Amino acid sequence: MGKQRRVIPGFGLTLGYTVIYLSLLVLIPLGVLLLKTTSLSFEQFWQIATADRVLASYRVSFFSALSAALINSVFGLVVAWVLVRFSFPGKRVLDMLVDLPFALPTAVAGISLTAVFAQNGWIGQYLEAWGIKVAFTPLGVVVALIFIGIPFVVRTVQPVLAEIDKQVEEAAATLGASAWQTFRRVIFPQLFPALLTGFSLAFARSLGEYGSVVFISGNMPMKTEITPLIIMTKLEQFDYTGATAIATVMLAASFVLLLFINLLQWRCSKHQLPY
Amino acid sequence: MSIEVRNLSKDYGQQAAVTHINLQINTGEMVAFLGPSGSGKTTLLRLIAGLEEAKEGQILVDGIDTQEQTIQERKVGFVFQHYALFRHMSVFDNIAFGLEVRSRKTRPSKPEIKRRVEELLRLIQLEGMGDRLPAQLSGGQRQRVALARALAIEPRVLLLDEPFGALDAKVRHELRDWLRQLQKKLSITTIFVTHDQEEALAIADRVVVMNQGKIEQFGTAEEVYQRPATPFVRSFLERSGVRRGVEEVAVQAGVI
Amino acid sequence: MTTGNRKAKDRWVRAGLLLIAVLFLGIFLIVPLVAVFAKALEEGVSVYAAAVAESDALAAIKLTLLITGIVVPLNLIFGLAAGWCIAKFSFPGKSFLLTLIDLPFAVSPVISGLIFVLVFGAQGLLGPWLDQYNVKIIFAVPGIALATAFVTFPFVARELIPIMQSQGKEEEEAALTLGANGWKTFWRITIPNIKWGLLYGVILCSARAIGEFGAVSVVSGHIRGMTNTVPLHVEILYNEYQFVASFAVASILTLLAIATLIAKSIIEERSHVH
Repeated sequence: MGKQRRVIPGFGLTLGYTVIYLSLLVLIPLGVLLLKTTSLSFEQFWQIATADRVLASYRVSFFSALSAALINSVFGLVVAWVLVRFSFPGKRVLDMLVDLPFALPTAVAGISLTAVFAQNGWIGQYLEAWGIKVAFTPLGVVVALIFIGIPFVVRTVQPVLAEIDKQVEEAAATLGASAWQTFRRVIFPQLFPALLTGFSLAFARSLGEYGSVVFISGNMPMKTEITPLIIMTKLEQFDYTGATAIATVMLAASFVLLLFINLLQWRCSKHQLPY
Repeated sequence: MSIEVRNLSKDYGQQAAVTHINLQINTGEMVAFLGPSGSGKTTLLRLIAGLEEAKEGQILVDGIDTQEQTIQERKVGFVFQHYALFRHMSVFDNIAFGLEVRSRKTRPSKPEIKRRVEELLRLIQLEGMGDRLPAQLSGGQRQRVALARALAIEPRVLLLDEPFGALDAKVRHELRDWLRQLQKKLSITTIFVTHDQEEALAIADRVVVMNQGKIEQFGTAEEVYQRPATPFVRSFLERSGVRRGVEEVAVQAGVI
Repeated sequence: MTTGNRKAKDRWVRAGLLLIAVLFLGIFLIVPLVAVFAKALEEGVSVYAAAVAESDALAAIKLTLLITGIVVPLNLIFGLAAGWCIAKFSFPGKSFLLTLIDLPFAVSPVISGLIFVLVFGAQGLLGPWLDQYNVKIIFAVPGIALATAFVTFPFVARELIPIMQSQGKEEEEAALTLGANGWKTFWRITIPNIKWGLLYGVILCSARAIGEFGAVSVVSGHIRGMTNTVPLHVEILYNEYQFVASFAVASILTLLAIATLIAKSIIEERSHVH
C-alpha cells in the first residue's frame, strides 16, 4: 500500500527505453561537444568564434536566413490562403508539392537550384538580362533557404486558417467591413501566432542548412560562406577545436530559437489540452 | 457477488479524489453513484474496477481482497462513458475480444465463441449486425455493443460509467428500462455512475449520493428522496427536481 | 461601393492571389523539380542508364539501403516507446521530454555529424580506446548510421505522439478489463489504431535517412564504393563536373521524394476516412 501502481503496463519499460536511447544518441554526444568547448580558455574561444571570416559567416547565415524566412512568411501565407480558401484544378498536386523540400534530399535541391538559377539556367538567363545574378552570390543563398523554408510557414498556417470560423468573417462582412478590413482586423490577428511560429521554424532550419546552400553559394569567404560550411572546412583541416567552438555558438543560437518556438507554441495552445 | 469497500482513499497529486469511503453492496443489487461532476463518483467506480490504484483502503469482492489481483484477474465488466469500442474491429470482433485473448487453455473453441457472441447479439437485439463497424452504429446501438462486450467475459460485477450520458432522452429511457430488466434477469451485481438523479432513483435498488469525494447518503430511492440525510442531498435533489419540473412543463407545452 | 463592383474586385483579388501562389511555388519548387529530370536526360536515355548502373553508384545505393535498414527500425521502436509512455501516462517532466525529443530538429546537420566525430573520432573521447580494439566508427558504416539516426531521430515519435494522445487510453483500458495482457493490448488495439501514423512516420524517417547529406558528409570520409551514400555520390559527381551522371543519380532520389509525397497524401486521405 502507498505505492501507486499504474494500471496500463509498460510505463517503466517504455520511459526507460525512451530516456536511454535519447541519452545515448542525442544528449551525451551533444554534451561531449560542450565538454570539448570548456577545454578551451575563454580567450581562445573568443578568438576563434570572432575571427573576421567567422563573423562574416554569421552575418551571411543570419541575414540570408532572415530574408528567406520573411519572404516565406509573405508568400507562404498567400499559398496557405489559396490552398485553404480556393478550389481550382491541380490544387491537390500543388498542396502535395509544398512538402517537397521535406522529402527531397538537400544535395539534390542544391544542384538543381544551381542549375536553374545559373547564368545560363532556365530562370537565371532571364534574371541575367535584368542584371541580376543569383548563383554564386548572396542572393543564391537566400534562394536555397527559401526553398528549404516553404513548408514550415505553409504547414503551420494552413490548419489554423482552415479552423477559423467562416461565420466570424461573415459577421464582419455584415457589419460593413471590406474584405481587406476583415482580413486585417479579424483574420490576421488569429493567424499571427501561427505565422510567427512558421517564421521561426523556417528561420531556425535555415540557420543550420548546409546541403542545399553549398552548391549555389559558391562559398566565397567573407561573402557567401555560411557558418556550417566554416565548421565543415575546419573539420577537413582536422581543426576540431575550431569546429567545436563555432558549433557551440551555433548550437546556442539554435537553442534560444527552439526555446522561443516552444514558448510560442505553448502560448498558442494554451486554450487546448496540454500535453 | 458482494462488494465491500473499506476506508478507500485516492488523490491526484495534491487534490483528493475520494476520501475514506466505506460501502457494502449486496449480491445481485443495482446501485447508482449519484453526484455532481467532480464529486468522485467516476473515480470510485474506476477504483472498484481496478483502473485506478488506491492510495489506501481495501476493496473486497465476495470477501476476497482485490488489492493483489491484476485488472485481468478481477473480471469486471466495465462499460465506458464513451463506450471505448475498438474502432477498427467489427461488432462481432469487439464482443469476441475478451474470449479470444484468453490463454490457449481457457479459451473457448472458435464455434463456441461464435455461439456465445451470437447469443449476446440476440440479447442486445442486434442480430445480424455483427459485421458492422462501430462507426456505422447509432449511439444506442454502440451502448448495447459495449454492454455485450463487457458481458461476454461473464463478469462477476458490472460497472457502468455514465451509461446513458451520451444518448438523447427517448433512447435513454428505453435503454435504461431494458438494462434494468436485463440486470434482474442475469442477477449480476451492478454499479452505474450518473449525475441525473431521476435516472438513479428510477432504476437503482439503492443510491449512493456523493459530494467532494465523500458519501453524503447511501439508501434506497425512497429513503434518499423522502429523508435526505444532509443539506447537500436535499439541495442536490431539489435542484434536479426543479429542472425536471421545467422539462415536464416544456414537454406538455410541446416545446421539446 | 456597389455590390457588383465589389464582386468584380473580389474576383480580381482572387485571381491575383492564385497567380502569386502558383508563380511562387512554380519558381521555387516545380522548376527545380523538372530541371532534375531534364538535366539527367540531357544526353539521352542510354547515358542516363549507364550513369545509374555504374558500379560506384550501385555501391552507394546499397550502402544507403543498409543505413536506412539500420536506422529506421531503431527510430521506430523509439517512437513507439516514446508514444506509449507520453500518451498513456502522466509523469513530471513530460513536456521537457517532448522538447528534448525535438532537439535534433534544431541542430545543424553539420553539427550532428561533428558530435559523433568528437565522441568516436581518432582525436575523440573514445578514439584511443576504439583504436586499441581496432574498431572503426568514424569514416565507416557505424558512424554514418549514428549520424543518420540522430538526424532522423524525432520523425516517428513526432508522428505517433499526437495521434496516441488524441486517442487517449480508454480502448486500452477496455481491453485490459476484458482480460487482455499488455502485449495483446498493444498489438491488437494500439497498433491497428495508429497504423497510418506509424506508416507515415516510417516513410518520412526513411526519406530523410536516404537523403541526409550534411551530417553524413562529416562522418563518411567520402570513400568511393565504401562509405559513399547516394547523396554524397551526387556531390562527388557534381564536383567532378560529371553533371549528367550527377543529375541521373539525383533523379533516383527525386523519384523517391515524389513517391514519399504521394504516399503521404494517400495516407492522409485514408486516415481521414476513419
